[in-house]
Amino acid sequence: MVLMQILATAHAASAQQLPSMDMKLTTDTSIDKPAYVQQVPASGLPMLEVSEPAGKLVFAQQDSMPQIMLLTLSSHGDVIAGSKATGFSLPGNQNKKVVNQVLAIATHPTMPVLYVWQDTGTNPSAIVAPKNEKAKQYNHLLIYDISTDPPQLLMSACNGKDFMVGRSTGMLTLGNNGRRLFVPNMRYDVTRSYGVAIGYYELDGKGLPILTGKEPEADPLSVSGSPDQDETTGNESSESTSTEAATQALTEAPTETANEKVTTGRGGGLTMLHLSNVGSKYHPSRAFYIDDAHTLLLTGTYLATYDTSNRTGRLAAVNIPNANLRYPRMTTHNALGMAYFNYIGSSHVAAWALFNGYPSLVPQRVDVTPLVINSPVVHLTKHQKLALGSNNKVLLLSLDKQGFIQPAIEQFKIDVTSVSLMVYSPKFDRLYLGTDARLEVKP
Amino acid sequence: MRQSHPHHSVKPPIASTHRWISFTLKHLMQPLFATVLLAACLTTQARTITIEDTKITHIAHIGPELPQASWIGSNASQGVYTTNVIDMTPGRRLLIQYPLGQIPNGQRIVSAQWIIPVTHAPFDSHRLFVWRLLQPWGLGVNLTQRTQVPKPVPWSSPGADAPGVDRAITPTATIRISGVQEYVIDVTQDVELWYTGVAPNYGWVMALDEGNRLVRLASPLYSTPSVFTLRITYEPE
Repeated sequence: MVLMQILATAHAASAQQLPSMDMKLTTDTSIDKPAYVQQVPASGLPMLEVSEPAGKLVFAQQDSMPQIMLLTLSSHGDVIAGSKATGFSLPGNQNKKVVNQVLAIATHPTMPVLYVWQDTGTNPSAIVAPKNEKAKQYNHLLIYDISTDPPQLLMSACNGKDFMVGRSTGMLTLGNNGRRLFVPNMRYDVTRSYGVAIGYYELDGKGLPILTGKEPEADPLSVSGSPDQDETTGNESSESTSTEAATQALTEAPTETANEKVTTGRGGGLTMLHLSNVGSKYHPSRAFYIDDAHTLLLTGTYLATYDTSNRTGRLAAVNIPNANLRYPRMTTHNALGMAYFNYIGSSHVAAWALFNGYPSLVPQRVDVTPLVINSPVVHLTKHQKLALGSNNKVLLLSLDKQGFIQPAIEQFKIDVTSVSLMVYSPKFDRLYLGTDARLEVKP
Repeated sequence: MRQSHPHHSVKPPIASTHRWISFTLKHLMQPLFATVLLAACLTTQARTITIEDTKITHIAHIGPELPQASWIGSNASQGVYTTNVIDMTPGRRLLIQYPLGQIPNGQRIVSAQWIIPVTHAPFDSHRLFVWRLLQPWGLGVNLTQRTQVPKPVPWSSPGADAPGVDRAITPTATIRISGVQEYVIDVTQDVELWYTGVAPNYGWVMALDEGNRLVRLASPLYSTPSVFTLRITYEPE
């Protein structure tokens, strides 16, 4: 028996040991504000990104003017005391009848390029198709060179019936070191009121979409094969793809090649990934590049993997336990194979191990009650930590070698009512925090 | 005027001393003895614990449709899978491993029951098999790999199907499905093997009988957690 117990112990030791997967943490370790933290004035501004190649912080607000503000950083990535931002607004806003809202911004990691997603914001809860010719020409995607002053509009794209009009949310993501751009708010079935999809462009060395000038591409599974069927009944699913309609939509989509400042529709080169009944029209989906075949999506209450190489299972959606539909946010770390996500306004953050883009086993769940998390989770890659904004403080969670959250929290106080705006630059090793001060903009 | 004599200042005579000892034994020692006896009885009583699936770190649902995935769930529409429910179909496997650390040392397993929540059983006479797993598995588990950390290690046969290598030869239980209900299966022998260290605890693998079509289970990931529970009764050896 003793020998058996020794053998069992040896077996157990060789078995995989996971860290604590369900933790309730309290913040009992206060530290001084780390040197890598940079406070930036951002009162009332909901969007902040950093462009490392341009050496600028990019602020944005939905519909107040100016909508985009650029603040030049020092060569080390520091905010220069007393410096003012330059601002500009989206081109359609000369016409005061329709205000183009900024829904999302993203920056290229190696080129001084800014991507802006805009919408009219007139019908935020519905998925609607553009109804008139003017609306059909509405370009949602604007691409700027921000190395110049003023910034130069390089390209506008993404119009037509494949895009929803009137949304109030949407997200842009760069992946594969800036070689893929994910765009939101597409419609995979133009005959139905639902049918949420996202799309992606492959980008060239300048950060611009590679447009083929051929028929618009789509994941073949979106438009071919038999109608969706329920596994148990064999009946056609209520959210099935209308093959004919989808094919027709693709055929009718604009196909002209776009060059600089040329308005394009989807253009050849945009691949659409439809989210079927996993997508939610009320919540923006955010896509993360895993590899050329695998895209990870956060869609409300699901963590979903889109696999363009698997024709029998293109989309696998795993429920996020204790998910909160509101304001999901996520970041990934491809080298570690981890996804980190949280819900704005909740007290929970989670880590889920990924293999080929698929979440494995169960997520590690961390509860920081009574604190409330106001910011998206930010991965401080050079410090193996996660940063989370709360009221008057920032929480730092350390990660182990595998990327799981360790059972200890550090916190530092900061004179900001609600830390909601944070972005990290690996190149500068700076965590930029938006403060309650007002950003000064040059007239 | 009566003089008062506080009790603590009065030394009793010898006869009184015997009475005092007798009194003490009767009124103090008896309750004390009874308390000790009761405590002893309580410690020898059996205790039952319930381990809920929310405490599990190792659980997966693998199959051929998503060979790289740890989770299949059910086929919601063509090419789309969600974990709102767990559909057991031929080729799919549910892997689950309960931690037994709650059971203190020096106990004897009296009984162990695994509760399996069947929520949809459209076909008669379907059977689910449960086998004890013989190989460790973990992060990155899928149809062909039992783990990918620190490096990929394959199952001997995809889906942990190799009898005597990936899983036990003889099933722990065969569940004949006869409608929607919670099925309680006796897993006492397995839990005893794991608890005593005779066999390492790698959990169970569940599969649907080949030729059957579908048995649907509640999902531990969906909004109804604590659906798969393991109930263990133990007592001191």
